[in-house]
Amino acid sequence: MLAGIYYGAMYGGSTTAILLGLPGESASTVTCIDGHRMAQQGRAGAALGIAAIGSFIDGTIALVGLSLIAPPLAALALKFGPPEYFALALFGLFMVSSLTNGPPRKAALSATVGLLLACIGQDPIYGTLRFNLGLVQLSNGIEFTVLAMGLFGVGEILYNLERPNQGPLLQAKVGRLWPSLRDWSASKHAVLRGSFLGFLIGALPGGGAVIASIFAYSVEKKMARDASRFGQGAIEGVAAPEAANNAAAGAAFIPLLTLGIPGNSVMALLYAALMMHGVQPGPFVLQEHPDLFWSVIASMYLGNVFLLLLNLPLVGLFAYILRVKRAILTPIILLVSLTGVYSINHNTFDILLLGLFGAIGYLMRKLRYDVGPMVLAFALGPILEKSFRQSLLLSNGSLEIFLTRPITVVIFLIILVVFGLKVGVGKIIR
Amino acid sequence: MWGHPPKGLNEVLSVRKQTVQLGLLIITALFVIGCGIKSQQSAIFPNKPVNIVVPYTAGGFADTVVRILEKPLAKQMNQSVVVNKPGGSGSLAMLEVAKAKPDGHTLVLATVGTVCVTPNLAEVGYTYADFQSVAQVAATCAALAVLPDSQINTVAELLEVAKKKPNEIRIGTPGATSSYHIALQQLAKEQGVKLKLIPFGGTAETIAALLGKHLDAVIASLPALSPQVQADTFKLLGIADEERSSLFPQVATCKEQGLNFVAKTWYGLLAPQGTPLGVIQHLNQAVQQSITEPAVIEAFQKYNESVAYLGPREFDKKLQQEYQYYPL
Repeated sequence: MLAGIYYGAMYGGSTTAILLGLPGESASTVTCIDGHRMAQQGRAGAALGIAAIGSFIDGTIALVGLSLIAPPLAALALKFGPPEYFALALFGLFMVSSLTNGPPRKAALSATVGLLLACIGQDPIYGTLRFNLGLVQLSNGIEFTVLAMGLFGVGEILYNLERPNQGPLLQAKVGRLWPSLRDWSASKHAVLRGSFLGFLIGALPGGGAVIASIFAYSVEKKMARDASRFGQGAIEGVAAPEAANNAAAGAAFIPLLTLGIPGNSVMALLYAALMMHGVQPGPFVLQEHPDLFWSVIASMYLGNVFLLLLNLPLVGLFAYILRVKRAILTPIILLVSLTGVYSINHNTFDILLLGLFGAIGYLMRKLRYDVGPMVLAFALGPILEKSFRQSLLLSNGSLEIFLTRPITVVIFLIILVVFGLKVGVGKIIR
Repeated sequence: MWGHPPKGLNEVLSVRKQTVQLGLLIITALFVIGCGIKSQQSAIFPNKPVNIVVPYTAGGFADTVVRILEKPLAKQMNQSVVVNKPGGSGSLAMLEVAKAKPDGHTLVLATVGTVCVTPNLAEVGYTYADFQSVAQVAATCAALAVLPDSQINTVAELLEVAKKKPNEIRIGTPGATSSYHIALQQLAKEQGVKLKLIPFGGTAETIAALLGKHLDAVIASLPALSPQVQADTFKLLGIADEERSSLFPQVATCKEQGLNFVAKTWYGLLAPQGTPLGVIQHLNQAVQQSITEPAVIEAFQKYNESVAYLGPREFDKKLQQEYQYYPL
């Protein structure tokens, strides 16, 4: 049952991301970019619909994958040591640059600030506190949700306050509540590719849904004939990251069920819950408790079906939220953000931070900087730094470690080809 | 906007105003009397729910300890409420309880990390001296493990190898500020060897890294390692405890291997400094009774942990000793 709740929560995050532009968790940040834009254009129904149906499809794919190839995939995931995580996170950081349509220097600046903000708190290797301004509240760094809700949600609200129009967020009709056939044909490959990527990356104990959704989005943008639609409400930009983060959610069970390693905090909770029932999650779970393995899979699948059944009729209702007058909707969004942020740590300092990031988000919108790269770089920063420094510890400070391992070399080559070509071609054209 | 109300309405309003004022006066009077009654009652403990603050997120073992104890404790003291406050690596919760009213209604679940390591590490606004012990409840020890095909069989052998090849043995730890990391650093210093300690973000990551052969050994809590040891994917080198573990009685302690190495994670309840002794005793009795309940003992066993009781005086002494043991 816990597995089902986890699954539902994974989907719930995308509803607020699309409708209100509030990414409740790191994995739905990418969905926010095109999903919220679609909602503003009156295509909330299509966005929510594709997210719901997409979740179902890729949930199915993830479960089939989980049943068939969990053990070999787990073995592959173990090959990822610190250098491999560094290469992957670096790749992710490069991909972040493709998330925006603005000038690259603005995206780079936004991402750099995100990386710097990620440095606040405890040094991952020496344990000393840094950049916390002497505040105990900052000794564990900034909470991701606070940053994301501030920059996306509160920033957007402040920006909209400037406009005299206080009518509904959406002037036009809500539009069709279902994705059209064209939406479908545009996103079916995106869903498949997103699921595949999400499943692979989600199986890494330290990887996770954020990187998966960034990858899926960038791949779609690169594959698209008209990349400029991305960021302006492209349905593939919703379908792919949603598919990826849901598939990653399914794949996150792999390290727990095959190796006994909880890959993220939710899995740690499940680990504790299993132990309470007398099941020791470990390498033998598959042999000793095959019933458990299959019941987790069954409960996830049931959860998947229920999500679809519950969400599809509600899509229309959710979409009508946007017809509510802004003067009424805005305070509600603000209240939801405040409560959400407070409920994480029960800490009033986080509310102040939310306001601060709201103000920064507002200024960034005024100056035409995208907040997406900042938020995503902030999510990648800790993985990037920790794995880089761990690698250097392993190699006694030699950078050779990144060039002598097959997986890192392959990832670096891909980065070089994909982004090197872009820069190279750009130069030739000029 | 509303304009001036007509005169008649004004008079009506002023009569209403008087009624409201009278009402307020009565309420205030009742409130004052009520407070008097309440302050008389506070001599009896507990007179309201006891809050137990957990400085970690739900789901970790520290949280589990409190959840196991919650039911039996609630039976004995009105009711108790568990609050999770994970901010600031746990120091926010500690600080809050340190400053709470010392009447026994606010307690904190303390671990070696929040009481004896963090205050050593940075200015967090509290030390062990700001608390008064109620009881230690449970304790776990650290253990070192390697892959089964490793040539090394004991911690003593590991240190021998490290002496010959300084800075080559790669050992994963749960984090730079984890007590296990610091304790292992102390051991290396004492023995004059150079180990390559690599901090990870928690035990799960460390175990994955050793399984993937990115490390030579790990230090982690025994319960976290035990599934891997039982599955023969890890081999234990030694246990950092005073006595052998009932889980793996065949594995020697580090002491038996001639090393002065004991690293334990303990869990206990603390109250703010200045809590009346009577209240502490009352709380201590309740904890003592709770941890002897068979259901509680069984619940701890499910997590491969065991009850480890210490009274207020012994626990206070331990806090002081360990605070001096973990300077960074």
